[in-house]
Amino acid sequence: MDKTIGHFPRFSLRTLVIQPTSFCNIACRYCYLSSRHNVRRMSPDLCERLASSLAQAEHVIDLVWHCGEPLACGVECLETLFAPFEPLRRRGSIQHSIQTNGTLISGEWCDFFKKYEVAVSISIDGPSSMNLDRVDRRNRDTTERCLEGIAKLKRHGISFNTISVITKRSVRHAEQLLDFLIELGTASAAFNVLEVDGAATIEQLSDVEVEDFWADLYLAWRKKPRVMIREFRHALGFLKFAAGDKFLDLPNRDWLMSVDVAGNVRVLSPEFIDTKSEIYANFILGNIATSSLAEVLAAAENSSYVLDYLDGVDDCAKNCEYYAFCRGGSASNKISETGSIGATETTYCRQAKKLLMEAVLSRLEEGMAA
Amino acid sequence: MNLLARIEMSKREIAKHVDSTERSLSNFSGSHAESRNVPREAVDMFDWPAWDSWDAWSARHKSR
Repeated sequence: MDKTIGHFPRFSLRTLVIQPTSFCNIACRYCYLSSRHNVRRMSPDLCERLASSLAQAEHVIDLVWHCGEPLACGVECLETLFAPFEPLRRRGSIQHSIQTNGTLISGEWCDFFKKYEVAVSISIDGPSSMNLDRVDRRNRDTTERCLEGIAKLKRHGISFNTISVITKRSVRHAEQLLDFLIELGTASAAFNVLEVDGAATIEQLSDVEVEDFWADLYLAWRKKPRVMIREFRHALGFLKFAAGDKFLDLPNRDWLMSVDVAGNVRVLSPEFIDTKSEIYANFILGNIATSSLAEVLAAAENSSYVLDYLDGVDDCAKNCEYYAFCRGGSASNKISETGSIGATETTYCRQAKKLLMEAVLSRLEEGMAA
Repeated sequence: MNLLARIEMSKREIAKHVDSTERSLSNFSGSHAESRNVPREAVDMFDWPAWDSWDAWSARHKSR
C-alpha cells in the first residue's frame, strides 16, 4: 500500500480480539454493546480454524478475549475454545489476555488462568462511590462482587491489571482513585476517559474536567509511584523516544483484528463488532469459517473503510502536531462521533491523547521553571 | 511552540523524570516479573520504540 511508505507505518497483525460470547452478566451504563443480552457462544470449530490460520503468523499474537463478559461462557466452554490454541501457546506463538468485570471469578477460574497463563485485567472504576455505573441488570452496585473476585485472584497468587473508566463520579478524585487501586494490589492501572457511543446512556466529561484529572493523577502518581499507569507509561515513553537523538520511523501499526461470536472478522476497532454501517457492510471483511486470516488481511488492505480511514489519518499526519503520539486516532470514534471514518480530531483523541500529553508535558515544563 | 519543539526544550527534564520514575517503579513492579502470571504491561517500562504492538495498547484502552 503506497500510504504505508514514509511517515506512515505498515500494518502487522499483533492483536486478535476474540468475542467468545457477546453476553454480559452486568449492564454498565456506558457500555456500547447492544448485543450484550445475546447468550450465543462461539463454536469451537471457529477457534480450530483460527488456530490453523495463526500457525504461520510472523509475530507473537496477543489473543484478547473480550467484547462481552468472557467468563459468562463458563470454564468448560472457554476451555474448549482455548484448546486449539494450546500448541501455539506452548511454543510461544500466542498469549492469552482476558478483560473481565471480575464478578464471576471463582477458584475454578483461577486454576484456569494459571493453567493457560492468562493475563487478567479487571474492569473496576474505583471504590463503590465511583463504580456505580457498573450495575447489574437489576440496577444494583456490582462493586462487592468484583472485589470478591479480586480477593480470589490474590488468594491464588494471580497478578492482575485494572482498567477504570473515568466518569463524573471520579473525575475530581484522581488521588483517591489511585490510592484505592494501589491498595487493591493492581500490577498496572489503566484509565479510560468516558466515551459516549453505541448503546451508552451517560453524560460526557468536559475537556477542562479531563485535563484537570490527568494533571491531578500525574501529581498523585509522582508522589506515590507504586504502580505502573498505562497512560503515563505511554506519554513518558513517547517523550523519551521523541527527546532522543534517534527519532526515526514509527513502529508498525496493528491491524487490531477482531473475530466476533459468529466468526465475522473486522479490523481497526473491536467496537465495529457492534457498529452498523451500510456503506461498509458492517465492517465485515470475511468469516473465519470460510476464509483464512491471510485472505482476510488481503481483503483488509483494499477495503474501502480501511482506505477511507487512512485518508483521514494522512490528514492527521499532515496537520496535527500530536500525530506521532496518537497516530491518527480510533476509527470507531471517528464514525461514532462524526459519522465519517475519514475524520480527523475527535473528542476521544482530544481527551485521551492530547490533554493527557499536555498534562504530563506541562508538569515537566513547570519542573524546569522551578 | 509546537509539541516537538517543546519536547526538544525539555530534553534534560524528560530524561531525568523518566529515569527517576523507572527507579521508583522498579521497587514495586519488579516482583511481578517473577510470577508465572505476569500482566505484561507491568514489566516493560518506557521503552517506547521497542513496543511490539503500539496499538494493542489502544485496544485495551478501549476495553471497559
